[in-house]
Amino acid sequence: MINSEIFSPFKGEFDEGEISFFHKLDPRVKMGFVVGITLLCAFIQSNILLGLLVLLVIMMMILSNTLTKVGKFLLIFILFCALAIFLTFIITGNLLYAMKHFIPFFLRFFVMISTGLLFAFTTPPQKLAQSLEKMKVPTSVTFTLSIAIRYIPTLAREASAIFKALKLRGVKISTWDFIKKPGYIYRGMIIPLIIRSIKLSDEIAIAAESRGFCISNDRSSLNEVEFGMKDYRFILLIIFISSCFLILDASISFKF
Amino acid sequence: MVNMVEIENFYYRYPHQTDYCLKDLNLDIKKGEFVFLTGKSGCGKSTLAKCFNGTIPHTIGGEIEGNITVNGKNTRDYKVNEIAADIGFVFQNPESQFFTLKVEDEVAFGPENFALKPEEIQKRINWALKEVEMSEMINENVYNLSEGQKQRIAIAANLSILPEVLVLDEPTSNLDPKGAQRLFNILDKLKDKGKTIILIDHRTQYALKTADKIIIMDEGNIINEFDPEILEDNQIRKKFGIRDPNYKIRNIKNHSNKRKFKVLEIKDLNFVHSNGFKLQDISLDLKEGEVLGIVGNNGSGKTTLASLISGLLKTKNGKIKIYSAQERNNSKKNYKVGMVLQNPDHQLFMDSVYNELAFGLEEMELNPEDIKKQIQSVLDSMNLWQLKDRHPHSLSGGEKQRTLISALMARKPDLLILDEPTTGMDGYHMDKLVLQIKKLSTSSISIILISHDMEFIDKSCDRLLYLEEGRLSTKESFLG
Repeated sequence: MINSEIFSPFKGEFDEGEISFFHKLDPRVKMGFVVGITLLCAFIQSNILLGLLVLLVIMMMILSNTLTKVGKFLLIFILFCALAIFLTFIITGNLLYAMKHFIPFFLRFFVMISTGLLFAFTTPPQKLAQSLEKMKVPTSVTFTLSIAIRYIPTLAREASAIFKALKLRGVKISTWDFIKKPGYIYRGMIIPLIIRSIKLSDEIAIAAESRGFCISNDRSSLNEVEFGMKDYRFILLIIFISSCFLILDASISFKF
Repeated sequence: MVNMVEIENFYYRYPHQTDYCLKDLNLDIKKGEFVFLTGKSGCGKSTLAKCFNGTIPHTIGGEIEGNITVNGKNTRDYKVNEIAADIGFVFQNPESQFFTLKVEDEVAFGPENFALKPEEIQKRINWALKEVEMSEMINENVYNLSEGQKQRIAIAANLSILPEVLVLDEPTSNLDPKGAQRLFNILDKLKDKGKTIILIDHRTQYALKTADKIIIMDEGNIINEFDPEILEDNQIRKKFGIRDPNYKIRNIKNHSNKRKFKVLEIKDLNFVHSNGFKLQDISLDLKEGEVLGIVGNNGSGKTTLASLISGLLKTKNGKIKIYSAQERNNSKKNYKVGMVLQNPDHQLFMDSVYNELAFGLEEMELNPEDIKKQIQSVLDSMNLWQLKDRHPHSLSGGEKQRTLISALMARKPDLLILDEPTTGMDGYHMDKLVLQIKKLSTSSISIILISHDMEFIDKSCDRLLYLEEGRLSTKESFLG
């Protein structure tokens, strides 16, 4: 069955106590943060520093109250890493080799994935669209993006209704059935889902136009996103930490 | 009085069609009028609604003759978004008209498109939400709203652009009687404030009191403009498939059934849904061939109960036992309960009606000859034989539903559950469905109908069960 929790980042819904400093940052800053950290972990050579970076990201997750949500996704990734190392160990018989080969690789990926998730879990689609608009991306593009994200939970609900209907017609849907008869499931699932999606997108398009969408080139917005002191402070902090990492990395690799 | 909407010798045909869908329409709607537009499904009323705001011809295309003018603007010359400030549009499905996640943002969407200043937008939001009695929900997530609340927000989202005319296309289809009543109260208030309202719907009950004018359409023509009292004319209603505005629930008794076999027995059923909703102490019996209606407002647990009976949900608290005919004859059978869910689009999987009925039958370990015979007899009895090669998704709403019921009938269930089968259904098709249900029940299939459509329930059920907040309740408490 489809677990609605998986789609929680797209609902843009936060409890009062859940909102942290990271939620309040301008999405543009957060986007910069994701790109910056990704570049940083590509440049850093030292495993120790990569490990430190992982710790830093985990700390950010704790501070922004997203550890439990993001953790579920990261768990899948960690299991995958363990499997890869284990398989290489079995094939080569050399655990050290397997570790040496994979650990820097996975550490980097861990940092990239978790910053990306951190961004997704703390940014409502609406705000993302607004800040993209500020970056001079055309409204038709930002609107399409925010609608696409907005309708993921709706499609999930549609899919779960189709699942129910299949069950009622006696189709058993277990993983094994998926492997055994993919065509059956494909027909049962995909065709109604496509038909629903087309109908929905037609309706959405008409509804948007009938509320005056795209009538003029500039759109105003009720809650403008603006750079504040906290955004500048965060940028400074990240630049400072990154430079420390880069300097340390350079000195470590210089030594050896 | 000024004419707000004028239709002059209007013809329309869809792209790639030879026949006109709307023929020679002439109509004037005055400022501040409340117009109720009704007629059989497929009579062209939704198509006409799309003409009002220019979706036809600008978005959908096709060929038009004649003119429609809204607030002095000819729809030929103005695109949908250019006419948006004059005419608001509320759709049947709230799910597809929300673009954001927060009530406030949703109502702000229209004014934002017109590049208004934030202070002005805020003012309009507060005003629009007050008009639909939703001020306290301003920060709510749209996912957490009930169907009725969603429709009210959809109205507010249109009001915030300050249109003169408001068109609503079957807005009450998914609403229970309470929700529909509330919606009509709000529309009534808006009418008093001078808005012109065009309502397309099947629920005539409230229209009788609130509408100024009834317009009946049939096969693409406007039959005439009438006074609301026309709805009380039985013959007119029958002729144009219009619902009865004055029906009352008869005193349906637990009638002494001559049939002896019990098909379903539920005892002390308790269930807690993952979202915290509780069903408590449900007990009921169902005899062979009986038609049981389960009624209650949205969120009273009707669908949860049906899901438990059909096995979609499971519980260990209490007993649900189905005694099938085969069991009485000591033979094995897997599928005893068939259930039709609300939206047929979710439930049709194959490329022809025939294959739709065959879908899943092989899994029941029947031999191909038997399958063929079985399908043929079901198609015959449900009047679907001539449609057997059509694609199920190309059928009309009523035909889709018949295909679905047939697909379940082919599995020879002992008990058939229909969940809100009359959503958006006109009087004509409802009567047809009632006949179909009577026919099934005489062939000794037990049926459970879940609905808040009281007219339909009243016409088709032998017995009623009232649900309120997850508990069995009484008629008095439900209606009171």
